[in-house]
Amino acid sequence: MKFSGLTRRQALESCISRGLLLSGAAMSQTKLFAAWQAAEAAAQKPTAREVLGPFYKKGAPNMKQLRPAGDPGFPLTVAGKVVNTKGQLVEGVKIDIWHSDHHGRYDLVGFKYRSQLTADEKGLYSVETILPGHYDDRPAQHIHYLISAPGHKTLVTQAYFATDPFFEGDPDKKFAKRNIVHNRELVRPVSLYEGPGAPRAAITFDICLETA
Amino acid sequence: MADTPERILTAEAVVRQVAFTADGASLMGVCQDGQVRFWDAQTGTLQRTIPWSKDDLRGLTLSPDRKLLAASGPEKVIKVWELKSGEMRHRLPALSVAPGELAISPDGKTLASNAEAENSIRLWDLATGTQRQVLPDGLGNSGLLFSPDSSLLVGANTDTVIRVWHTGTGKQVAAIEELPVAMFALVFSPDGRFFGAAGADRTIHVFETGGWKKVAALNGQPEMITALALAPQGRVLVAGGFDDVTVKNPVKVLVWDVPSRSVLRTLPARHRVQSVAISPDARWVAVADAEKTVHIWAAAPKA
Repeated sequence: MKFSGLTRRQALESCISRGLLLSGAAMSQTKLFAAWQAAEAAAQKPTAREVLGPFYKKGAPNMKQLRPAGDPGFPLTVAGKVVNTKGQLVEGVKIDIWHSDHHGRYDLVGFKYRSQLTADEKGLYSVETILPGHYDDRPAQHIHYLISAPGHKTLVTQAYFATDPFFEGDPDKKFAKRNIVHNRELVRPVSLYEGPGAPRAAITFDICLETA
Repeated sequence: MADTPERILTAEAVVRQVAFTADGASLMGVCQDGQVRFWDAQTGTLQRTIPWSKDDLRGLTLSPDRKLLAASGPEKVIKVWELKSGEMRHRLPALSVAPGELAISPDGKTLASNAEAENSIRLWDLATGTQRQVLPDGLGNSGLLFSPDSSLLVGANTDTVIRVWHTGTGKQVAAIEELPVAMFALVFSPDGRFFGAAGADRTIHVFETGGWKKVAALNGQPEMITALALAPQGRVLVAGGFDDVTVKNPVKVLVWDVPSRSVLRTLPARHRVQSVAISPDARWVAVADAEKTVHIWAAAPKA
């Protein structure tokens, strides 16, 4: 939405809806519009949803290190920031993540590659794990997310990997292949770098929650 | 040979749901090509075929009395057919997303539907074809089943909670929250006193329906369970499913003697069991797999 395309009434209504007019009486019109523009710039689209899938397991421990020593999987760091659609930090957020091992198998007995993370005071979360494998029904590598926070809608989604052979080197064109991935933005660029002793991968997966 | 089925029935499409007719003489298979096939249960010959749908079928359910079929496709519509005539009785529209799970009550009066993205269950009046109630549900419905007297609806979710509603009032009467993973197959005992749920943990969890407390857990299935069937007398239970990584792997179907909680027989299946059924006299077990075939086995090993 561009400010120039708005009528004054629309801009004022938008300011009211964003809670900017609580102190509006003392603000000049210029300041008000500047505040509105700042709020508009911070505003974000909620993260796209995906299905929960059959392998969620509740009760995962809060663990940042999910990759045991000697794990044959390719090391992966997943990190991101959690905000709401106003760009604000979210209090009390719980981020359940789970994925398969490098063969595509989920641990349904214990909690391997499963964690319930929290975000720090800057809204950041991170986890050390491995690249998930492929399995027949869902042949694109993915990490499941179930994110909840007081006052916000629970978000169920999945992160995918742009380096996945499933996307044939062209996720822009191939992301919708076989109706498995429903949103291009969920396919994340993968950074590959030389870690201590071995190559590593990293993705950023930021999360934007809708208020309830 | 011990590992050879008594009869092999072939279809030209994947058989999504199998059921014996009330007299046990025929086996019916609801097939992915929109046809219902009837085979002679003794000889295995195809008796007749009823074409009923030309849609790309997703959700599918056969009523417990085998008179009605309900199905959904990629559209936001549920179609209900009368099996005898092959005619469509209802076309239930006004859904926000394409429905997945479906169930018809044993009294034939109510259809329950759920869609993954909707987080609610709708109850439809099958006499009038109108929506009766919307029940708030959890995330990712993975199974719906009515109690034998049609008074309760049970919904299992991949958020691992099983919810129980009174179908008359629409009130939630119980929630089973103790299961760690999702359940995909549900069954009631014929008298409604017991309820079984099985899924990703390869276990059949049995609850009594007075207080919805767990009374037993049947372990031993090597793969996750997606299909359950209980004989009309409630003494023989059959469970099947598929390997959670490689659906092409061969799997096992377990036949349980319920009173002794022991395995009567372990049957080989090629892969991905779609549906299982037991004959009314509990002597025969039918297993539909993804190879467009139904295998009929004796429920008990030969003496």
